[in-house]
Amino acid sequence: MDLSLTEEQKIIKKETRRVLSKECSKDIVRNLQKTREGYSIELWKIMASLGWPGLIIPEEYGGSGANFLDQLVLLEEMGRVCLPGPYFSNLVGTLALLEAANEKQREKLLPQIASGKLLLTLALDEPGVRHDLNFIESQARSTDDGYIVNGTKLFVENAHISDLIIAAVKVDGSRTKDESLSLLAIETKNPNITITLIDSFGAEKQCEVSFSELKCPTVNLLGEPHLGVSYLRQLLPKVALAKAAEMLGGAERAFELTCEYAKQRVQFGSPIGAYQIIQFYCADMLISLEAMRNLVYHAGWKLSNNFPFAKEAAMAKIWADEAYKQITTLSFQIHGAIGFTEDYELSSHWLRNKPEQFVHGNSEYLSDLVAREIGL
Amino acid sequence: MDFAFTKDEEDFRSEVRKFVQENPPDAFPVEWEDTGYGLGAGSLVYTRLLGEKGWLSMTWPEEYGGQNRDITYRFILMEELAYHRAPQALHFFNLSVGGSILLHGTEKQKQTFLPKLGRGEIIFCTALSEPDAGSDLFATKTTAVRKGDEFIINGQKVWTTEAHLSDWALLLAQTIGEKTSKQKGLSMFLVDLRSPGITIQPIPNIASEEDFCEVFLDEVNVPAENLLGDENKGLPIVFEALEEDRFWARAVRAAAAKRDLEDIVRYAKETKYDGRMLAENPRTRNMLVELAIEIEACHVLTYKVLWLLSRKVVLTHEASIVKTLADQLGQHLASVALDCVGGRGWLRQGSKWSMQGGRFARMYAASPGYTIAGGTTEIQKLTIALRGLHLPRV
Repeated sequence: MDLSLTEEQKIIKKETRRVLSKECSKDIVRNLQKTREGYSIELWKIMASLGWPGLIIPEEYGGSGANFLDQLVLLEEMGRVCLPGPYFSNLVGTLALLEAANEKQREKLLPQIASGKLLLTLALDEPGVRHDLNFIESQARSTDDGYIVNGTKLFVENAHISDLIIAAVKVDGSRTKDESLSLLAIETKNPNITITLIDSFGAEKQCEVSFSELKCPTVNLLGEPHLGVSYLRQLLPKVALAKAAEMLGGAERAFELTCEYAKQRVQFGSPIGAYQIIQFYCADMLISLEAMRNLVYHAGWKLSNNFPFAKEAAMAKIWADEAYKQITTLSFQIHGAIGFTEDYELSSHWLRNKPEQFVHGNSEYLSDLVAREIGL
Repeated sequence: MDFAFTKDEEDFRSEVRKFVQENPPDAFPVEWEDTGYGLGAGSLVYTRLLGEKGWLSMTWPEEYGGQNRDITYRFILMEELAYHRAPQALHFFNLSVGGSILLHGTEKQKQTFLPKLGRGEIIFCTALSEPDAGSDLFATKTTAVRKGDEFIINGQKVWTTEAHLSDWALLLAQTIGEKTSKQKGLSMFLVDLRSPGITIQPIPNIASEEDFCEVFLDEVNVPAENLLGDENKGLPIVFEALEEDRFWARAVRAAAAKRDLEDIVRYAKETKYDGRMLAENPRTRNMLVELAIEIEACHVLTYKVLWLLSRKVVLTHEASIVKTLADQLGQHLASVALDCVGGRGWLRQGSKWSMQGGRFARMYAASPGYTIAGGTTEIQKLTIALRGLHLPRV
């Protein structure tokens, strides 16, 4: 047993923190959140030059060939600063490709992603269909040279700036449940696609994406037809774990800010951190945070070493959903009014932790997975 | 980052499993019922069996009967015993006191006590709390007055776990100072519980089990050579031992809970409930999922602290994190177990329809104690805040 970070992970952590503290201050974050694009192309270029979009992409496709634990270390640092923009949604798309794409598709797409030149995202949910692999209504009709796609997807993060959307669709009507879905890589420059930003309360850029008699060539079918459900079952626990790592970083930052504040803020003649109720809040936060960290890294270790990991990943995300919320809530309580000004860093964490709970599988969804795994 | 155990450690785990199969816990008499702290029941015979294998003292140096093994082996032993519900509560303090003797004992004390402790031939308890000194050990009133080669001890201890089953106690007493002075000197003594002047009175706990005792000391003569560590410097020994004890006392809470969860899940799948199986009831599923996640959280945190300890990191507050989470888990487990199992779980051991010897009922009855014994949750949180986070003192 050796629970320390590897030398490489320490470097990733240090470098990421250095770069993001310079390039992604709280003011930059807040300003970017208010733009339509929601990210800075300059910062994206820096991130690409550092190899971040391709961190987990194998070296033969132009990536760094890092393992999932390395990826989690990077995400944790991004979570600390509430990094705006497409990194996470792009990673979800990348992981979907790594799960499903055939060799030709990998050769064509992965190097472009690794260099930061191609952005992609995953389209799963629909109006009336949340986190469901069985009742998706978007349809694809087979033709001689491809598919005709119709349907509407919701909560497609960063679709408005992406080049490619990986969409889960039903091909040629219904089949058995397990064979009901296929994954199509759909180019956003296609004229038969409509992308509309749906304004959320948080910083993330969510979109509605509609396909209307959209032609998608056969070569854009990812992997095998009708295997969408099985690809997604592999993919979603990884996405949940990746999100939990990002939330871990956010919770860690909120916690640090709060402990510092408790040591400095004086009321009734003492730093408020000297009062037991505040001390107990801080202790509760640390307990949740430490559990969160070890759940995330333990699941990441399982995944990186090809052990079954879905249960552990789901548990880490469910814990993170609650812990990030609890920690930011207590952070506000300890900060008092200053905490919930738009200007203060905590506001970003608060407006972020709720939508992070929804991403491609919330606690309720993942609980079913855990229930099955423990034998229920 | 690597959460895996080594090949040698895994082999040892198999060896322990084989031992438990060959010595099924059910077949041994028990002096102490399992009240759900994670360490199971207590059995003098079983403790001696483990002692004969050399497993109780395996992390100690060879010259004192040990095998110099890394503490990871102790953890693996405890984890397997916990999962298989083998009794290991009685020798817990042997290992704790043994650790303190190793660190602070004289050569003679080491030679005298360690081999016997390691073989399970003598059982030790720890006598700290008093009627007016619970979480606040500075308020200790029991006195030890030097008289030639002896100390004369007078006073009263209370909540002394398993004193009635023990041969010896590691006892905290006041050695100098006025009662009002903050400079009060406190010292640790190795006390033979068969000494004249000692009266031990078990106090039945809420689960009707005799776990803890009152210990009265009336003019008890203790040889000066039984002073552990320096005179008037007993408290640092206590605090050092406490932080580690907090870890070891709850180190296998998760492993024991895992086994209980498996049993509850099996019960839920076998029991008809409102037109379907209990396992299909949404609230039952929810409760069990939440419990499973808490077990996993406790489990991975335990690994973290185990790893720190095996690297000889001196703990400040990390064990307090584990203990707090483990005790919440224990209380949650006891409650959920009864909610799922229902009336049969509430029957006493020996009742016609009782389950698993009344295990869950006994746990539930005893569970308020989890967050009190071995340092209250409030003390753990203060430790985390002050020693871990360095928050200011008033």
